[in-house]
Formats: sequence, C-alpha cells, structure tokens
Amino acid sequence: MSWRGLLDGLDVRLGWREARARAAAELARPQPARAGWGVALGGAALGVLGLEALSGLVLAAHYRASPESAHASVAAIRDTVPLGWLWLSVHAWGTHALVALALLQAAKVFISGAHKRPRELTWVAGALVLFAVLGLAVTGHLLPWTNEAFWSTSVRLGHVESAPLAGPAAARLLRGGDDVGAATLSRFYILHVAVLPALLAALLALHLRLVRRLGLAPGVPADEEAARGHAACSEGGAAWLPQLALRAAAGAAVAVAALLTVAALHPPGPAAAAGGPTPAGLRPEWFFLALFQFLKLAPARVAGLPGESVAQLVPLLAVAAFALLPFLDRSPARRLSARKLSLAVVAACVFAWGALTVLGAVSDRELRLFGKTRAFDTYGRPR
Amino acid sequence: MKRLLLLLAAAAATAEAGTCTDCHPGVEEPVLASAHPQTSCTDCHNGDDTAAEMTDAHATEKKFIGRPKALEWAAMCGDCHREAAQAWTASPHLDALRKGDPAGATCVSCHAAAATPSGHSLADCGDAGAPSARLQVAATCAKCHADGAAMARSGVRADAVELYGKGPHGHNVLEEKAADGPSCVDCHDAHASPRSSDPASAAHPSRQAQTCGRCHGDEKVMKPHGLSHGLVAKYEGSPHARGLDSGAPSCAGCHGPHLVRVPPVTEIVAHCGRCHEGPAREFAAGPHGKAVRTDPQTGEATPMSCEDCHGAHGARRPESPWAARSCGKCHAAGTPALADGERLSSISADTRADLVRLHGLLERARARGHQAGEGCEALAALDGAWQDMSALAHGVSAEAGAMARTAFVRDAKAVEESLGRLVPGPRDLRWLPAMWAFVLAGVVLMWRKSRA
Repeated sequence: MSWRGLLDGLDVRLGWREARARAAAELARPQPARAGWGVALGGAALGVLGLEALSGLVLAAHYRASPESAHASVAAIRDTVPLGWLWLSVHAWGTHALVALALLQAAKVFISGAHKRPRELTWVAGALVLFAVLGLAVTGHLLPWTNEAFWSTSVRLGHVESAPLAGPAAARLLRGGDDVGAATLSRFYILHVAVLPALLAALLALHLRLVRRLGLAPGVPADEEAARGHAACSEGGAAWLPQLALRAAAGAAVAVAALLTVAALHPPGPAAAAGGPTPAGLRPEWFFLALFQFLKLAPARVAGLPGESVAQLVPLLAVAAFALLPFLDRSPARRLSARKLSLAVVAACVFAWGALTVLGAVSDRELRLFGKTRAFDTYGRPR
Repeated sequence: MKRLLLLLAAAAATAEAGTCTDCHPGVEEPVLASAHPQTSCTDCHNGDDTAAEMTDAHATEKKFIGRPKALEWAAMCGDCHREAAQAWTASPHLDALRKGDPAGATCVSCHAAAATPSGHSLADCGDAGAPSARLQVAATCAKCHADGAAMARSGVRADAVELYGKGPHGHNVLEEKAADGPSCVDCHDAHASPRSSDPASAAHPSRQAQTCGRCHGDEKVMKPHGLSHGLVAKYEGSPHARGLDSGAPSCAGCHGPHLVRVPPVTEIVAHCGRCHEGPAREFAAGPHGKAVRTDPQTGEATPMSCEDCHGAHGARRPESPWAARSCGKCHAAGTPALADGERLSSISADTRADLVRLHGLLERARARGHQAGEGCEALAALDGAWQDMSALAHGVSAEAGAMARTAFVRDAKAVEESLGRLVPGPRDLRWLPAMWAFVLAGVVLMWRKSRA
C-alpha cells in the first residue's frame, strides 16, 4: 500500500481531512487588528509548559518515588545524569515562570475585556489550567523528599485538614495516613505525573479549542460583537496562520531561552533529606505567600467555630470568584474606561494580594532595607 | 581518763543487761572492748533485758530475733551508718546473699575483729588492727576472695588478692606497711564494691585512668617511688584512651589489674600483637624483630619493641616524616636503612593524605544527598589496604611498601573517579550565548515573516 493509500484509508475511518480543513479554515480567519504581539504571552506560557513536560519526562525516567531512594535519586539526576542538573533546574524554575505567565495572561485578558461573552468558558478553562499548574507545583515540591519539602507539605496538608466540610477527608486521602510518609509520596507522585498532567492537558485542549473556535476578542463591546459577528469586527487583521502563530512561537522561543538561561545560571543546590527537625523560617513559594500570610491572621475561634476553617472561606471564595469572573463581571463593555467598578474591585483584590505577599515575604525576617537592618514580626510589622 | 569515764558509762548502760549475762557469759567483755561499748543487748537482738524469766526475755511478742541474720545487719547498722549501708544494698555482696550464697559479705564480715564474725567485736576502722584498716584489707577480702569454690559460684576471679600481694601495690602495703599504699578498696569501693565490669566502678576500664591517676598523676606521691607522674596524662591523649569503647586497653589492659607490673620488654610485641596482630607479625618477621640493642654502658642486650617507635603510654603513630625521628635513633644518615625508612615514611604520608582526600570527597558526596554505596565500599576496601600497608611497614621493607603503594594508587584512582562523578565541578555554560544568538535570529525571522 502506498503512503497516499494509507492516508486515504485513515481518512475514510477517521475523517481527518475534513477536521484539518475545518481547523485550517478557522485558523485562516482574520483576527481583530488589536491582537498584535499579545499572543506572544500565551505562546510563551505554552513554550514553558512544553519544556516542563519534556524535562518532567526526563526526570521521571530517573526518579524513584520512595522515601528511601527519592532524595538520592534526585541527587543522582543532578550530579550523574548527563545534563540532569539542567533538566532539574529547568523543571523547578519552570513552575515559577508558568505561574507568572498564567497570571500575566489573566491580567492581559481582564484588561482587554476578552473574558466577556461569548468567551466566558475560555476564561474558566484557563483559570482551571492555572489551578492545575498550582497543584503540580504543590505535588512536585514534595518529590525531592527534602526536609524543607517534607515539613512544608505537612503544613499544607494541615491547612487542607482544617478546611471546612471535606477538609479532614481530603487531607487523609492526600496524606494516606496520619503523617506525611511513603503513602503521601506515592500519592503526590501519581498526582504529579499522571492525574494533574492529564487534567491540565484536557483543560488546555479545551482552552485552545475555544480560542480557535471563538477567535480573539475584538475591542468592541460584547453586544456589538454579537450583533455584527466576529468576522465583521476583525476586518484587515492578521490570521492565526501564519502571522499570529509565528508571533506566539517567537514568544515561546524567547521564554524557553530565558528559562534555560535562569535555570543554567541558578541551578538548585543540594538540600538536606527529610528526617530532620522542622526548619526555621519555613515559608511557601511566592505565589502562595499571600495565602500563607492571610491564614496567620485567623483568630483561634470565630463565633465558636475553628478560626482557620472560617478564615479559609475568604480565599476559597476569592478563588471561586476568580474562576467564575466572567459570570460576575457581566457588562458588555470592553474598554477599561467604561468598566470602572469592576476595575476598582479587581484592583483592590490585586492590591490586597500584593500587600499580603509582601508582608508574607518579610514576616519573621531581618532584612537590610535602605541601608538599615529592620526586623519584622510574624505579621510583617516592623519591630 | 576519758577512756575510763567511757568504760564507766558503758558499765552503767550494760548493768541493766545483767539478766542477759546470767545465761550468756563472756558476751559482755568483747562488747565493752568493741567500737560500740554502750550498745545494749536489745539494741540488736530485741526481746526484753529487764524480764525476770528467760522465756519473757526471749518472747516473740517482744520481737526477740535471736542471732541477727546476714540480711538484717545492713538495716540495723544503717540506722546510724546510713551511707555505708545504702552503698552496700547495691553491692554484689548483697546479690550473693540473696542468692543464698553464705560467702556474701555483710557488715560484720569486714568489721568484726574476732576470727568468727560477730557483732560483739565490731572494730573501729581507725584502729590499725581492725580488719577494715588499710594494712588488713587484703587479708579481710582474701577470707572470701581467695576461696576458689566461693568465687566460682559468683563468677569472680579467686587470684586477685594473691596477684595483688605479688605486685608493687601489695608489696608497698603488705611489706613496706605504707600508710598510704593502695589497698583493695582504693579501686573497689569498700561498701558498694561494684564489679569492675560495672561502669560505676572506679576499676572499670573507662575510669581506670582517673583512678590510677589519683596517685600516678601526683608528683608528690610518685617521686618517693622514683616513678614518673606524667604517664597517665600521656595515656589520656593516646588513641587507646579514645578507643576505649571499641576495646582499646586501659591501664590494666597492659599492666594487669592486680599484679600491676611493668611488662618486660621481651613480652611487649606479643602483648601489643593481641590486638595489633598484623604489625606485630610483620615486625617479628622483619629485621627489627631479630634486632638486639646493646647498651654501651652496661653491655645489657635488649630486643627492640613497639615502644621504640610508638612510645608506651602515648601509643602514637610516629609523626610524618618519621624516618629521621624514629629510624635516625639507631641508623646513621646516608645508610641504606635510613633511605628505606625515608621511602616508607613518604609512602605512609602520601597514602594517608590520599585517604583524607578521599574521605573528604565521600563526605561531600554524602552532603550532596548521594548514598554513594559503591564508592563507600571501595573506600572501605582502601582503608583495609592501608591497614595492611601499615602492618607491612613494620617489616621495614621498602620494596614491599612500594609494591603495596602502587596497588593502592591504582585503586584510589578508581575510587576518586567514582566519587568525583558525584561531586561535579562548575558547569560549562558556553552554550548560552550561542543559544541566544540562535533564538534571537529566529525571532527576527519570525517577526519579518509575520509582517509580510
């Protein structure tokens, strides 16, 4: 059978030519002129995600998920596997890059009003991708089985345990016992390499499918877009193929190169294996600092209920509001000047998040700022 | 005068006991002559010494106990002699009594002056004739501790007092009657008398240096005997003192616990060889094992021993380079023997430096989180090879040393490579600018193409 015959045979069974033609037609549609180089940001996130998947594959090939061998296998990856140190460093730094790019992407989408009708589900899928990335960050953090990771995971699961309603059951399910141990490591490993990547892939596929199907948002209000149609709002704009795709690819190339550079210049050094005492000054990654700091503010009891459980309602509601933002921010306007209220609310939330992050970063620390050594208490107040 | 008054008082006190002495003649005299002349009969025997009838005096309602049993003495004496009785209750002597061994010593076994131990003749410790007095202690302990059958029941050696008598400590006390000479109780506490295997014992290996050092570290005590007072301090800085937990010898390990003698030079190699088997074997087989030194003044011929290079109490590895310091004592400069010594000395120094470096490398690999099992095993094998090499060095053959060194260097190289892989040096980052050039060229291309 010739090559062509094989493709024909597959087409009869799969109908791939029709699907390709539909996708090509969708990708050839002009996009709103304002799209510009903004797509490079999404491309950068995709590029970093691809590098995370690739480095994750290499690491998984050498990693052994058991308390006895996890730490040594990571040391072996770092010191004996060819370029293992770089893969390890890229994979760790990639988390930070991915969270940062996803947050920037969310900011860009919010500012341009692109989350509004009919692209609400694109936002929801994107937000869920970010949550999957955060889940990957948390589960991946434990895998090297360092003392710091062991204790921060214990703390995190403690917070899960005090979450309202399903908290204790969820914590037990994740931990696989009363303490962080071999079962926790197995569970986090399977979440990190199978469950969460599959979930992320599905959500990302949905997100990209929706981007392709609905096109990029034009600058006109949502109701006007609905009335005139996407094509009419996008006259004279560049199409995904080839221009926008090339811009996204350029963004991906720069992001990958930047990530490789940071990873090569600042590879993670050795850290003590789990089994030591709780390290002093334990604090989470920068993107969880606000949550970390907020939970410190919780009183012991609120209206007779455990304080932390009540306090957790605030971030839980904030997270739900973030994922469902398009259904809360429903005005058709896309120009910022016409969206003062929602801008003010979101700006206040971002400010609160930023302030808590800064307080969390300086709390219980002595820092040299503006030529003076300043000490901060656990609430981030100067002492 | 004072003694007379005391006797009168005692007579007054025992006057009440007149009823007892009616039937127990000959009891009063030793009690009055003992360290406890005021003690009345009922103090130890209970009963009633005022009763007119014998049955009343001995009535069980009056708690009459008759002759105190062995186990009852400590409780009775302990009313006043609290510390001594307390110490005795933790002693192996009490253990023996509890097991029903009649040889278990109780208060009267050591403190009664009479041949038949009895509470009636308790002697004052200050009295030179008392069985617990320094000059009498050995004889008192020997009453049981020289009895082979009794000692066998408790698993205790029966030759201790005999050996003590033959050694300088025994001579000092028993022959010279030295008032400050060491007796049994100087090393084995008089009342607690713990076994020397008990870490609480002053005779336990971990405490021997301290115990012996009480006299042997004191210049005032040692000088009259013409002995050095610095030997214990030297021992305390030795590898033997550091290795006590792993069975290294304490003072008694070389001098014997009771005989306490200086081992004759002809026995030293065999004695050290009990632990240092390889070095002693190679030494005996080598030229030094057959060498005999003649004292130029006395003409006395003595064989060489371990002490010549290592010292006795310091027991140190000679400091590198040791050729001039150790070999040079007997071998003149420029002789082939000294040249061999120099070769061996440098082989030893190089090998030790290699091992220090490799162990450092292993530590660094471990600190980086590597279990390094293979490298660790190979390094343990090298440590073993070094043991063999240092044993071989005692045969003072430079050829054998050089051969062993060649093999060591080959294996050390493999270990260094295997461990070195776990401790990589700085990374090569020359690819970074090339990558950026490539990426930027690609971005420019894509930018141009996306405009078209």
